[in-house]
Amino acid sequence: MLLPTVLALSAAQEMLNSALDLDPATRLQLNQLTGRSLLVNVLYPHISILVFLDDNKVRLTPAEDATDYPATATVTATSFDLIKQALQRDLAISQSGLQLAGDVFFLQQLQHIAQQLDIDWEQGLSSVVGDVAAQQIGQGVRSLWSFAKKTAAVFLQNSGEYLREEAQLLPTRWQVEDFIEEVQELRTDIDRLEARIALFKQRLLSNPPNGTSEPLC
Amino acid sequence: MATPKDDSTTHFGYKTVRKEEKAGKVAEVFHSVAAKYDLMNDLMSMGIHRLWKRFTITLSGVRRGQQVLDIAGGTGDLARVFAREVGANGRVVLADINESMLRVGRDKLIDGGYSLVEYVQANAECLPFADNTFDIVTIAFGLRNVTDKEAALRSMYRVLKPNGRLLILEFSKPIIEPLSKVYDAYSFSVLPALGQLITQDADSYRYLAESIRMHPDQDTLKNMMQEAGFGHCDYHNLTGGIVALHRGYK
Repeated sequence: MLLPTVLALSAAQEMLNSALDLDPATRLQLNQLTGRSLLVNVLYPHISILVFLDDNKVRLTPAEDATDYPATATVTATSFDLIKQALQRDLAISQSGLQLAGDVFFLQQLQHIAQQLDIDWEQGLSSVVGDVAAQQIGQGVRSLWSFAKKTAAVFLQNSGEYLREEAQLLPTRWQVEDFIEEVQELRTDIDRLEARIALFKQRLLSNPPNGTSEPLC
Repeated sequence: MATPKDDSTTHFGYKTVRKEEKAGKVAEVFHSVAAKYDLMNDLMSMGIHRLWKRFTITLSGVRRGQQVLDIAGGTGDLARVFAREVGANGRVVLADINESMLRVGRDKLIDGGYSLVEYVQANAECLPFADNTFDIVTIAFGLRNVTDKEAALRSMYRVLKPNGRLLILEFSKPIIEPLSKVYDAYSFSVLPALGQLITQDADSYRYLAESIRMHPDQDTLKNMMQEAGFGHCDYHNLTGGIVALHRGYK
C-alpha cells in the first residue's frame, strides 16, 4: 500500500466525518449500525477499502488491513458505477449494476441513510465566515445547484430525444423493452429445447431404438 | 549491519559498547534533545515524519474502546491521536524509558487536553504489563535504541492480546540507490550541523545517523518479528525505504 493512497484515504475519512458531524440525524442512524462494516472493492482503479462504522466515526481502512474485521457486506464495482450510485441516491441498489454480497439488508439500511442525508453546510460555514454570510452563500449555492440540476435534466432529455427521434441512433424505451422480452422468450425456448434434447438422449441411451417410436412428451 | 564482537557487547552508533552501557548512553542522548525533539523532527524530516505517523495510525486499524500501548512514545505524537480514536472507553499508555522524553510528552498531552492517557517509564525489553493486555502496540523510531531488540519483541508479543497487532515505524534501508547516496550525505553532514545549531549537540545527531545504519534492514527485522512469534508479518517502505512500517499479529 502506497503512502499517498493511505494518506488520501485518511484525508477522505476526515472529510467524511466532518461532513457527517453537520448532520446529527445521520450520525445517530449510523451509530445504530456500530460494529458493522462494508468492504468496497473498486475494480478500476483497483483498490479495496473497508468502511467500518465505529461509534461516532466512519473509518476508512485499506482492505488489505481488513483481515481482522470480516465485512458485513461487500460491494464490487467500477469507480464509474460507484460515482453513479453516489449521485443517484434514489436508484435502488438492486438496479445499480453493483455486485453485492453479504448482508443485503445492511446495504439497504445504508442506502436508506444516504437517501436521507442532509448535511447542514451552512452550519459548518458559519463557524468560518459568520451566520449571515453563511446563509447568503448557502442560498447562492442552493440556487446554483438547482439551476445546474435543471439544466442537466433538460440537456439529457433533449439530447435523448434527439438521439432517439431525430437521429434514430438509439431505440426508444418500448423498443428496448420489447427486445428484452423477446430475448427472454428466446432464452426460455432454448432452455426448453435443451431439456428436451437431454431427455431424448437419456431415453435413447436407456432404450435403444427397436423399430417402435414413442412420443417425447 | 556489522555484528558485535561478543554477546556482552552491542552497538552504540558505530561504536561497540558493553550492553549495560548502551541504555545509559542512549538516555544521555535523549535527555539532551528532549526539549527540542519535536522541532528537530520537523526540521530533519521536513515535516514528513507526520505523514509516516499518519500512515501508521491508519494501518493500525484502531477502533473505539481498544487498548493501545505506544512504546518509546517520546513526545506523544501517536498517543495523542490514539487517545482521540479509542474514545473514553479505550485506554492509551505512553511508555518511554527516558524520563525527560516522557515528561515532555506528558506535559504536551495534558496541555492539549488529553487527560486520560497513562504514562509509564518502562524498558521495552521487560514491559510492566500483564500478558494479553493490548489490542495494539506501536513503537515509532524507538526500536533501534533498544539494547536487546529480540527481548523487546518478545515482550511486546507477550503484552499483546491474541490477534493484536504490533506496528514498528523505524528508519530502514533506502531501496533506491541514488536516494541512498543523497540520504547518506544528508545524514552525516546536515543532521549533525542542524543538531549543533538547534540543540547545541551535534554528537546526538551523529549518533542518530549512525544508529540508523546499524539498525536491521527491512527483511532482517521482519525475520526477527517472526522469530519472536508474530504472524502475518509484512512491511511497507515509506519515502523510498528511508523509513519502513513493519506489522505483525499475535
